[in-house]
Amino acid sequence: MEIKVRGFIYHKAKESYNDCNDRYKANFKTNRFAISDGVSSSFLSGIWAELLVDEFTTQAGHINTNQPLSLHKIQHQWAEEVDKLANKDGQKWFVKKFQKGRRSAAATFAGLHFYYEDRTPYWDAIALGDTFLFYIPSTADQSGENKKELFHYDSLPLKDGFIFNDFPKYLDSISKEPQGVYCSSLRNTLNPGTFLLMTDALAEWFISNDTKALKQLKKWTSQEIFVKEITKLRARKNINNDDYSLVIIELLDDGKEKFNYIETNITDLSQTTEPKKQKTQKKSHNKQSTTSLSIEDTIKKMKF
Amino acid sequence: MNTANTEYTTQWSTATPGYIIFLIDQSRSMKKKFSYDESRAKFSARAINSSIENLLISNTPGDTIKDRVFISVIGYGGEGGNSVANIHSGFISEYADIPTSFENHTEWFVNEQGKTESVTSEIPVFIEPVARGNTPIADALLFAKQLIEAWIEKRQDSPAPVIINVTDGVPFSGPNSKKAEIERTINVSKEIMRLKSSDGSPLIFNVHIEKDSGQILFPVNKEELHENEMAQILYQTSSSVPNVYFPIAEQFGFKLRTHAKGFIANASPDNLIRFIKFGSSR
Repeated sequence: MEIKVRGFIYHKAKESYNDCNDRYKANFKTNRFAISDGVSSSFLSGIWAELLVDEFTTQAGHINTNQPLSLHKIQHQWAEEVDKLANKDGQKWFVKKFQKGRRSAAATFAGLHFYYEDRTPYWDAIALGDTFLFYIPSTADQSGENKKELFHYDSLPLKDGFIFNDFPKYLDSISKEPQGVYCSSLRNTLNPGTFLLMTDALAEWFISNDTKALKQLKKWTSQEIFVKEITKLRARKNINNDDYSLVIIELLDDGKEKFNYIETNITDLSQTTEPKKQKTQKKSHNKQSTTSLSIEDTIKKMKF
Repeated sequence: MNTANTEYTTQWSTATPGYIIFLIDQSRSMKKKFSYDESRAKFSARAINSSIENLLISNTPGDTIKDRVFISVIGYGGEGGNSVANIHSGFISEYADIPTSFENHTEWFVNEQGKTESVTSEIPVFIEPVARGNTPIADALLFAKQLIEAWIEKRQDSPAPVIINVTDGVPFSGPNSKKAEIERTINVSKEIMRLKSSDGSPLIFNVHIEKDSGQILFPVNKEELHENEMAQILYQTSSSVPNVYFPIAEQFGFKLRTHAKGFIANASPDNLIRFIKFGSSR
């Protein structure tokens, strides 16, 4: 089976790649793919999301649905990163407090695995939270012209009735158990078609626009195009302002009994990262202000 | 997203920051005891300090703070008479530099085995407890209104601003003007609630504190006010809680009904803390 893989990532408006807490990874040896969205209101969630996708994609063999990720091991690695950060010279009070108070990271997750068994190709997948996996078989009507039979696709979690909100299920960097139950789809025969792994904002847009969105996605062949198209969608308010990650996996039948990756174009976040902005030195407030700010002064601080 | 009901759905972000205004009653009656040995002023100040710290936490993904929210803390009556003071105003990252002290606060609770346990935490001090003058809520709201108008004018795409008012009494600016002051407070509140941003009108949530009186929480109609004077005022000066806030309310233990008014009258210490955290979450 011939496989083409593309992966793109972009950050929230007015933020940078340094601020992006989405992660994805493809491992062509284990035939595993993973995507994770670090919850931005949690602590060091980008690192946590990275550990999750690394852990999943390096595992070999079938997905263990009871324990698809060795949480204990990667939680320890995450805690080491927290200690490193908190113990930096001159570290701020709140970071030390987070360490002492055992503030955790949260991330949603989806993982996909291809494998052969008895010369037949299969796929397994697992997901938790509002990070989605979609599968569109090549036989599906993707034109959108036949109103009665719009293109059919499977999703994990199930898209029908799914409610996007601020409280997705997630994997926590401290808690022993996932905060929610994984949903899984196992031992599906692998047929030519397209898999899409995407984080919540893109998934919500994709579900609302199905065939139209699929047509657009097919044209996203480079990171530059992805950034341009997301920026347009965001400007038109067709998509929520968020971090965006997308992995597109196209499968073509070449009659052979092995996976052959004929094209890979995956944006590496660490290469895309922009230089950190130099912060201007802020005036330190050593004392609680005793002078009431005027309305005019307050408006100036609103940084218009 | 272009869906039918998009009100109050804009998320806080650095591109579209939120705006929260804490109005805090610093009138002389705030000296009264509220919880154990603590005065209303001390307890309220700590509840707001703790909420600001929570905002700081939720906007700090690593060792840098994201300016996803602008906060104004406005005290009324604290400088005597009918004073209104803008104690602090700034983006959340500015607040990280403010605390010069940390207050040790111990909370006691009964664990699953039925034993009493305590947890001591350090809460940064952003505002100090003050109890001095009158209760000029209308003037404080007028001040807030001007800030909100400026904010909305320049940040039309940002989430709707939220005012959280903590008070222990009816609006009062002098012995001869009680009725007029109440009317003025209601009128200014309505003016604020009529302002428009693309995300919706500004929201006003009120919490009135009083020890050992029957609490009225998020009522849906006037029959639930039991002719309580303060509740009657709060009913007219509070916004209806948008549905998108319901799951947040549930997180803080409040079960809201459709058309619930965003206020508590005679709030207990515990409900004061939960209400402030609920109102400042998004």
